[in-house]
Amino acid sequence: MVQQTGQIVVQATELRKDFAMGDDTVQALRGVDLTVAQGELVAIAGHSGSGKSTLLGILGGLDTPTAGQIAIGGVDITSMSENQLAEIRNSKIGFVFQFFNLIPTLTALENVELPVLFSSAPKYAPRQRAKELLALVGLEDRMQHRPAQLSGGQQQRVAIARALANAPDLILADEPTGNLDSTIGQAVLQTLLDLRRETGTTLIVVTHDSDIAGLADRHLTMKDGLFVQDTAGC
Amino acid sequence: MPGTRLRLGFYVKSAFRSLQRERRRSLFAIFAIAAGVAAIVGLQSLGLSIDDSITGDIKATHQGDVVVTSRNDNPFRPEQRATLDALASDGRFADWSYFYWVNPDRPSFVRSASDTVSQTQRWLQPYLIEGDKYPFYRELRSIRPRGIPVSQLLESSGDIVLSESIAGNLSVGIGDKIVLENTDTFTVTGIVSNEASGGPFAPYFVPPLPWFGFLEISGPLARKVFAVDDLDANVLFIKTESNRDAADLARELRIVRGSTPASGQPAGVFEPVFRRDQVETASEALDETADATGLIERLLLVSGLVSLAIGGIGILNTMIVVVGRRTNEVGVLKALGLKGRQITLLFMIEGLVLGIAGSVIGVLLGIALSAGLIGFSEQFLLADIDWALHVEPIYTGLVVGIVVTTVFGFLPTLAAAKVRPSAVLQPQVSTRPKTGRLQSLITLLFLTAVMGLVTSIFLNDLLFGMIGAFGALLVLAFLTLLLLGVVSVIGRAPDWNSINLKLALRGLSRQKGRAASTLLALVVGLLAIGSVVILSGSLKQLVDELVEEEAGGNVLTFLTQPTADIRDRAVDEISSMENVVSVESRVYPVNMEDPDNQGRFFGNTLISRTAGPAGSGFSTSDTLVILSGRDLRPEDEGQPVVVMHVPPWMTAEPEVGDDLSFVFSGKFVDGKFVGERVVLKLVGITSEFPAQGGFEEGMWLAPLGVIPQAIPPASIFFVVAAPPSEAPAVAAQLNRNVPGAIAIEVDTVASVFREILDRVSVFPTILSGLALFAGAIIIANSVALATMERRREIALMKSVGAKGTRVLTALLLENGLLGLTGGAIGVALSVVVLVILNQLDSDIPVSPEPLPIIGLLALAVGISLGAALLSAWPASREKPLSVLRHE
Repeated sequence: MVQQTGQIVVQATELRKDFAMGDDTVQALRGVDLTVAQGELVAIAGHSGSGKSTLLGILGGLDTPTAGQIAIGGVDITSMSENQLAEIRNSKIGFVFQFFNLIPTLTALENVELPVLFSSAPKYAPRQRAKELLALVGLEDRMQHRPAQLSGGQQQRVAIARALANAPDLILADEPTGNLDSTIGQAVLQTLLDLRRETGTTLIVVTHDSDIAGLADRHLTMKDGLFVQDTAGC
Repeated sequence: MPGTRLRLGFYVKSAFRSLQRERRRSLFAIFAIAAGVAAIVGLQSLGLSIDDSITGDIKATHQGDVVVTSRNDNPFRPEQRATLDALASDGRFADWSYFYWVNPDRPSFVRSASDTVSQTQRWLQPYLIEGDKYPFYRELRSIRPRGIPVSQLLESSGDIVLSESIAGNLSVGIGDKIVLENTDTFTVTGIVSNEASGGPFAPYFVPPLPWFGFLEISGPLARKVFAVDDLDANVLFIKTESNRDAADLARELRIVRGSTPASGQPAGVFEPVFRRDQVETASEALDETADATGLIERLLLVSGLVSLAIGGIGILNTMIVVVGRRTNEVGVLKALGLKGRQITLLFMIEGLVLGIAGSVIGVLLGIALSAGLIGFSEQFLLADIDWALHVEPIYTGLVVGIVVTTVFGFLPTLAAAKVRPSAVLQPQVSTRPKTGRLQSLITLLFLTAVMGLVTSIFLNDLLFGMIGAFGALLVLAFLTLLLLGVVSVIGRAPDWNSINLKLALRGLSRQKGRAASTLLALVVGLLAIGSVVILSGSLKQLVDELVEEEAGGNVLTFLTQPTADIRDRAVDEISSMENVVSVESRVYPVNMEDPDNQGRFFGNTLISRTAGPAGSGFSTSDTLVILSGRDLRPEDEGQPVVVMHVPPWMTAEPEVGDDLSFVFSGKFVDGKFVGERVVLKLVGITSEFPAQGGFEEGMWLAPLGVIPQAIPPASIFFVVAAPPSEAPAVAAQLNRNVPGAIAIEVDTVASVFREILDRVSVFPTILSGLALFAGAIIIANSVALATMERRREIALMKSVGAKGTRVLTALLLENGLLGLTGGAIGVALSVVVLVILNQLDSDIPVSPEPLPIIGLLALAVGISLGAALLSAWPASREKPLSVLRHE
């Protein structure tokens, strides 16, 4: 288990999110509270439509809540402008998606460089940083390959390397093994856990994967836009 | 800043990679812009080349430092020559030469001497020149034999130099003999290009006949054939030592007085010698010509801008699809921290790369285009145009191409910035980003203003540019709305249980905006080419009607000299033919006194027609409309009656029943006409007389017998009506058996006009073809975009059993429908435009024929199918599995 400092990385209070679907309003989140400490691994499970991805999007500054408050690393992002949110996403958050979401026209190396390139105050030399991270995920021999030339597992490892590019406080992973077979999924999961151990990054994972849930510090279950279960992990 | 520099590097790299990834789409988008830029560069280069060639060496065009042109084509008088001789002996100018553009009351004709059987006559415009001097400032050399000065080809009195058109029509070459006016034989010593006539006789925008021959003006044979007195001329060229001398000389020529007493002035006051003539210096001509060529340049530039605007639609569609397809990618980039304006910049750079590539290719194509169009523009303007590489169109093309790409690509890139980063969490839900209405409107107005500014820079007129741009925006908005409606209606058409048709109709309705913009490009192209084709067809039809139907016969017979001897022989010959009728017409110079306005008069020509020996009536024309009174009748023969058209300029308003006083061979002396006076009763007022056999409108028609025999006519001609199959034989018989008569089939006259129309219409047809070409590229682009968007759908269809041919058929059906609709709307609009023009100016004919319209529709459908096939074929051949795996 990674040492937790007790410093709060994510503080969400009474988060609500409504979507208009034609004439109806769907309440995707109905007052979610969540606090995640630095270094913690939190797994969020739930059925399809329970609000997991919506929550993840709001936590990552990809979307804004209809009501409630959200702070990342002690900074309130609830009413930030789109540009301010972009800065937060770039510097404080890393994303890993189910469908990898690599830029198809760029090589693995170029994909990993992106967050550093987009930074208004780069902490690293983009190329060097990307090489280090790809080596870290075991892809030093695939740096010049494009996504279409990589297997699903390799693509997801590139995505993990990209998520780490600016050494974020928080990594948000949406079903990171959901699009991979179990063996490869296992390997990717291991990569994620190894990196978390080495970097001490906070990790929130939305997953159906019981393996991940079993390894998490906390295991949350969502239903109809609310947490219905909060279980401490191993 | 290093961060910014690195980011810019990423944008550029990303743009190139994206373009490379979708090669076909990128290529069509590049060519959409390239076609527009090529049109701009090509047409502006052409305009500048025309400008350079015509105004660059104005002395060569004008052919003299000072040119004196007789206003009414009458030969110069001895008094005028004496004045020039006196000025020359004073050393006021270096040299002078004279030229006679033989323009009698009827056309001149020529035939090959070896054609003794059919004796087919061809129309010829004789130019009588001083071979050793003409022209002062331009090299006039033959093309056969190559490069010989015309002066060396007109050494003998019987020599003639022909234009290549007439030499081709007669099938004659160097050394062959030709017969002019059915009288004397000349030897062809040289052939010059059709553009060689040049000079002030070719006012460039109303070209003279390209069927001409140069003869030595002082050659006795030429003088005899055309009854030209020694030193007769209607244009004088004067060469001075300097431009200043030219201006001084022109000023003096306008006021110098001769020895003719001025009417109404005290004794000893004389008329200015060149009072009735036009005296113009080369620099004055330059001003006039520069205005006209400037207009041509602007027209060409506007045509290019229209093509480019069509190309812009291609960029607009491409960028919409590019942004739409990369919604998820934009979401990812935003999730990684890229800001909205940076996303806009990223896509703008991609658009910019397309614009730069398209503009560079367009510039190269445009240069080639301008060189290729030179020949056609020479045919159109009948002037030698020297092609030259100009820098201005190159940077115009580059700047305008890039600006238009940026302008048209901007709205979609703005939409890209609106993509929510959360889109990345739902990659399967593809929602096309949209900009807000208010933002779109403001951006559109701003971009239109930018386009207006660009246009006004090139047109040198800010107001015109702005009004043009916003006017175009309104028209485009209206047309797009209209076409959106059309697309909606087509989309709802019944599919008659045909799955292919159903797929095609659904495909059309799916992207109504793009279908409408593609339709718009097609409509503009078809409108341009349709207008040219229908107008040229209508003109040809008009020519046929005027020449063939309204002539009232099928063989025109002119007498080279209006003598009683030749006339009697012609009458005898016609009378001897079976099934042939004719009407004899004589032309008399006449003045009519205006009883209400003494001291003023109206000069005109009277055609007096009567039934010939075998004739059956007066008016052979079916289209002559009697406005009041009646037409002439056979029983009017010998009666002092007249039928006339009242021209708008006539202040007197004669009515049926009035007695009108005509003065034949009249002169205006001391405020009165002196001459043979005949009083005729007005029995009918007609619409304008149709032009017949080269005669002009506004003529008086009277029975032949009322004109005293002593009055000599200016010319005599016969309209002979023979059975159609016998017309060639009748013409040949008259040519053979009546010396001094020239018989020509009416169809030959019509064919001359048709040939001129064909030559003249090639250039505008090519110009309008450019717009259509741009339209074709837009279609190819749209289909490429549609197939790209529907790759997954096509693969799914194939995976459930659809064959490649079904996919192909549905795509072709969809675009064939689009082509047919665009063609129909474009052709209909061109008819509407021509009808409006016809209402404004009744000289512009509009009589669309079904065959050209069917041809235009077939062209529209063909272009659509051809362009669609480029993308639809590979799309229909794709393996479904590879698509489903990667899309």
